[in-house]
Amino acid sequence: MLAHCARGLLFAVAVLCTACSREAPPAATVAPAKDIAATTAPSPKATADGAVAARAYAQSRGLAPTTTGAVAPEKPLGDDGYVELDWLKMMPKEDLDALKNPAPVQHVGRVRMAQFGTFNTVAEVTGHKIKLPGYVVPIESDDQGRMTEFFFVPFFGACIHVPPPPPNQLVYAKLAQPIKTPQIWDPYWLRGELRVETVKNQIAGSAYTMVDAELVPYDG
Amino acid sequence: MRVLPLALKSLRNRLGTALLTALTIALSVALVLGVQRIRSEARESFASTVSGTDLIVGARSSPVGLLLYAVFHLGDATNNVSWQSYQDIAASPDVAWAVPISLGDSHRGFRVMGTTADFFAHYRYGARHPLEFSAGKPFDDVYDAVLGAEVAHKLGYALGSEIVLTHGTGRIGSEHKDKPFRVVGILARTGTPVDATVAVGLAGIEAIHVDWQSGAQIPGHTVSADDARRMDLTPKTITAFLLGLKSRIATFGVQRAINDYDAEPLTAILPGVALQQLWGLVGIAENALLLVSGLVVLVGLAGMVTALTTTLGERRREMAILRALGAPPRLVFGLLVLEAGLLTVAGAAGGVLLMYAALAFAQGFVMDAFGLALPLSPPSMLEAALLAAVLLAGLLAGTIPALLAYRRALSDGLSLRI
Repeated sequence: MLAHCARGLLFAVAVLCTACSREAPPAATVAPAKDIAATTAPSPKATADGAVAARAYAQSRGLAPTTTGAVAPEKPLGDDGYVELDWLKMMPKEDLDALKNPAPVQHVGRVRMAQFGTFNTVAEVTGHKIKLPGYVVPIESDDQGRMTEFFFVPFFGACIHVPPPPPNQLVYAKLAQPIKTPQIWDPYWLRGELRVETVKNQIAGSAYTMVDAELVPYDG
Repeated sequence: MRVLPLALKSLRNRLGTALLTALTIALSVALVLGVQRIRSEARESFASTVSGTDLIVGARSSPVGLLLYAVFHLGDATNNVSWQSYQDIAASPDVAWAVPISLGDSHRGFRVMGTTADFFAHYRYGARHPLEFSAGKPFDDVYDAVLGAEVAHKLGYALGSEIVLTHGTGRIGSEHKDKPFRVVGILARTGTPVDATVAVGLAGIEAIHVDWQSGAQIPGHTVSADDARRMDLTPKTITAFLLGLKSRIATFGVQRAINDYDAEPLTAILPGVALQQLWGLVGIAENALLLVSGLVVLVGLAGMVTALTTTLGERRREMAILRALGAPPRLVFGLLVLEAGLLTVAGAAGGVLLMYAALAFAQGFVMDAFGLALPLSPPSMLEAALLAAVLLAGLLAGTIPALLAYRRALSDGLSLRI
């Protein structure tokens, strides 16, 4: 138990250190999640080949070619019946394009990057049974202190010079059954169906939510 | 032959030793259960103290420190937040509501919290329970006060009681005697630090300090309670404030904006995250404590093994007679294991009673000192598992003297040894 805790702390420190030492544009701040995904997911090339094949098939059948950029999950169905989703697929194409020309990250002085990101969502990623790798940020609990609501984010404990995940890179999840609040440093799979909820603030927009979410420890 | 009555009689024969052994086990079981109980209750009570609040904002400090002083009233603020910054942030478009908190005074050991009547409307605890009044209403006048359930209960106050606030958070200090407050409301019990809080309006906090200069009330320059009423009682600073957002999704963005606030160094925290960070730190000490109490149980059981083994010498004749009467060696083995088992059961039962007695005794004190509710609830699953583990360990420990007796020859007890 003790050893487990100490390991958790070490891990948190390691995450902090690696996140801060990385001279990266905002797009790469999602890298930890991507790295994790790469271990189990097919290579990007295979995925791209799949997309090319799908387009060729569509054209051969006389259908309109599908747009590139934000597309529905293409990865094969996992053993658990959930398709692994790439966090970046949740960002609209315009957002991704804007991220391709970012200002360099300032690690000195008081200048910090403003949070980039929009309240725009991608309809294609909703309504499927998907799973996402990431971290839990607890926000509500019941009378017994068990967690009922949380944000699910692609990275956690990153240094303060880079902004937090943009609104369309997080999921506001509600649990059907409250659970013991998990460690914020431990990675999890979030499983369920993404939905889009309209956000009521000064700029009209939407964000991802998930009701009846399920959390599974991330193992290797 | 039935072993149980035999084991009971054998224990009664050495009642003194048996009771002492059971007491040792009872103390160790009470310790391990008590540590586990406080551990889980502290988590529960801490985790269900704030809900419905999206961000807590205070002067630049560590998230855990800010959470502790702003919500749990433990420790002190690193600095104050200017009223201007508070108003700026409260007026930003993403913010649905903001509740200021001003700390630093006390009443007979209970912390005084300056706030607005919005506190009673927006503060939530547990599964989003709102605060309820068991009597009276929110404060309205400058010199009105609303008491937490524990404050009213402990100090025997009712509506209309007059209370004098003390400067600072110690039990003694300069008293604001010239400006007494009147109790206008008493809150229902919540099991959170609110129970041990005296809530007054921000204007009240300003009023009692208008004639204070550089941390002392200057004699001859006092302003009467009524004169203070006519002065500008807008606070210049507050200690912290709670924020509710129009959309939860905006939490990270607003937090970022507040942490980047140019006019003043501020820290905004998500209560849930700060709480988990706190457990990350406390967890290590907690586990060490549980480990130590587990070791104490081992020591208790080792004491039992010692007691049973040393009596084997005295019981050579007893064993020999049993064997001579036709009892097989396994009966001797069973007898000793059963004795160990009975001692452990008695110890465990005594331990549970002892733990509940200690809880009942410490309840009030723990609530006062740490704002932590310790209800006398039935044992949890984990506690039951701990008890089962202790019983199993006791039976296992009993096999040591039992094996010794088992292996002893029949002639051992019959031959004369001088």
